[in-house]
Amino acid sequence: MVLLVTSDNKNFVVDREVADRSVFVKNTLEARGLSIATPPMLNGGCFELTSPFLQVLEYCQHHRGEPLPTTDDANADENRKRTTDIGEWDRKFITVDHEMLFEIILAANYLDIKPLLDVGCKTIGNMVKGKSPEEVRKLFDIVNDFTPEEEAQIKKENEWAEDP
Amino acid sequence: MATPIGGGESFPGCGLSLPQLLHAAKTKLLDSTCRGRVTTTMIQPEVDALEQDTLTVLGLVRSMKNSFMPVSRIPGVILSLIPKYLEHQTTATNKDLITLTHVCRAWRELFISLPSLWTRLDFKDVEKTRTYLKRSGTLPLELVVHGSHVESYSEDAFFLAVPHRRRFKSLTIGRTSDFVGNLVNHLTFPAPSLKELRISFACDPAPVLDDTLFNGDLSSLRTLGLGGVVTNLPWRNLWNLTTFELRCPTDSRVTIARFLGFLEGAPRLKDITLHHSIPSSSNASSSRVVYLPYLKNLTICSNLAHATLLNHLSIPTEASLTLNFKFRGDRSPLPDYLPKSSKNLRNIFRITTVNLLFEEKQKFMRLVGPSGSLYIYGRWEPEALMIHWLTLDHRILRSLDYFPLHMTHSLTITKYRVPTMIPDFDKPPHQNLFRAMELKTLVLIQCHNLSFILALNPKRNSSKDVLCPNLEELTLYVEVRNEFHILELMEMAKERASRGAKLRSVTVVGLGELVSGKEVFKLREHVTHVEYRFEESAPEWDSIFDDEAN
Repeated sequence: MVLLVTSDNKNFVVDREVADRSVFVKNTLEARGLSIATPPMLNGGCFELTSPFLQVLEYCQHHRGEPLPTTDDANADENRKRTTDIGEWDRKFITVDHEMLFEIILAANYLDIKPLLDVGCKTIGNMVKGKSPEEVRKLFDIVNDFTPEEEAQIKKENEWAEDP
Repeated sequence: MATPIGGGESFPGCGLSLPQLLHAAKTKLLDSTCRGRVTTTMIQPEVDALEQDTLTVLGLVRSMKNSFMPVSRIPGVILSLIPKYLEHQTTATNKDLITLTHVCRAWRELFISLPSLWTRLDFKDVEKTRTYLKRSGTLPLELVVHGSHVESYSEDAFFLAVPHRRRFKSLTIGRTSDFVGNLVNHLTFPAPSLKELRISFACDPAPVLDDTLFNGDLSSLRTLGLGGVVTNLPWRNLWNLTTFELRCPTDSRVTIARFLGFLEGAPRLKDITLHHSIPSSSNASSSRVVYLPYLKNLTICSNLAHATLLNHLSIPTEASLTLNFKFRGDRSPLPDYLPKSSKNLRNIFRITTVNLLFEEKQKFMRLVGPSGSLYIYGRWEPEALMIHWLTLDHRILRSLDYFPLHMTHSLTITKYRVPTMIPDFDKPPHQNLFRAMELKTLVLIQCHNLSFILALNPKRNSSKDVLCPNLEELTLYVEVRNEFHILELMEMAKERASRGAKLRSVTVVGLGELVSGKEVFKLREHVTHVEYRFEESAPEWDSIFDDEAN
């Protein structure tokens, strides 16, 4: 068993197999030869950690025992990225509001859980796919901040951006 | 469409957006200055500058506003991954990627600053190509020319890329018309970093590829795929080539001698796929054999050429050989499709698993072992006055003599029917099983079981030997009631047990309720474990189906 403490001082006791889904935790434990870890200080306390961390743990619990992606195969990494299919369970898991989605992605990145990062990025990719810039702005509460010069350049790009 | 300059929100109290308000103020100011006898030309530049500054400040304020949005928490290093997940969804160059650069300044700066996102060129537009070339920096380029319409390819755009030829990493040309045939003629310059070249045409006349292609130097290539082109494979210095695929027009096949010369010049080949590209007769010396030490997969889809080529190739251990063909006639096709000497097939020196499927017009064989594997997919085209297909299956099974089966421990046969006119002693099950001394598992799916059962019975087979003395498991999938021969099965089990070759397990699977469980369990007298169950359908054959043979 492994004790994980978040930056808002919540304790989580999890199986080693579950904790090892995070390459960060796995490496930390192996490097220290310990069964108890005091990270992860997830992002300096800018936002509440317990909630995304619970989600991340749920993901790790569900996928415990599955083979971890190897870091030495660049082609496998590329292929993984190029598959936009998200499994049924993962799809339901990642169906959360935008704020939670971003926090899960940040947590997956910090904890080095590549499959979860993939799911998060694929989800954003699927959200963006086929949308116009204005629709993407609406989706993520972004405002158009381009200068007139940039707008002119974008207008020119739009002339060839549409594939025949 | 981009939003109007300055955005579209209304200012409180007047119902106008900020740019509209600015414009109104400017008009009013100019109007009043005129009335005050100040000329427009005196004040115009200052007003324009003020307007410009205001819009710039407004942009900065909006950028700041964006930075507080939740999505801005995602660092650029993660955000930059998103386009990678979009790449395959559209054509070579991604409309969604352009969209991402049109959302806001931060995203635009981020995505434009990542050269790896801009390395795929499709040559549909000159400006687009220019932009991609600039944004891709010095990274290797992937060039793709696809489509069947004139509008989908600009020759001028392609020429923009030629000065960057040292960056060419891959080039894929897939055309269904000849308007771009000239492109091939232009590919005479050296491309020293080109790793992947795929050229596929479906037009008439087929373009000719000779040794002027990339100045005759393809030594950097890892992958070469040629389809629908006329070539005599002139290149011989392909030291780095690992993957090769060739599909020639029917009337312009590559001679065997040329092809062998090509293979000798590409000693690192791992994967070779040939589609109807080799003639059915050889012009090479009969003693010439090319050894491909790194070969992992060789697939030949053709109708006659297999043996012609395989006579000159030595397939190494651990390689997989796939033969895909159509055949006619009333005899087993195997001798025509395998090399004269089985020594050429080093990959099947040790066959441990054999799986055969005899459909009426399709004959599949899968032979696998630690030394490699052989897959054969033959499609039979019956001719008039042809023999019955059952007789053909019988002959195919007999021709398994070609293969060493003495190490086979698992044999699965599906849909084999014994023709009634063949005498028992001549039935191939006896011959095959006689050679399979190490057989441990025999699975018969929807077969005529009786000839196998009789062959396994030392009292009833023609040699009076215990065939397959190490046989442990027998599984029968029975579809028709009269294919279940319980008396013969019991006698066989009894005779084997009495001669020290007791079966450990017999499993009978009824495909429908055709067999009585009581009858099956009578076998317990002579077999350690007896199992009986129903299943809706027979297990699917583990074939790798390939439409090429259709």
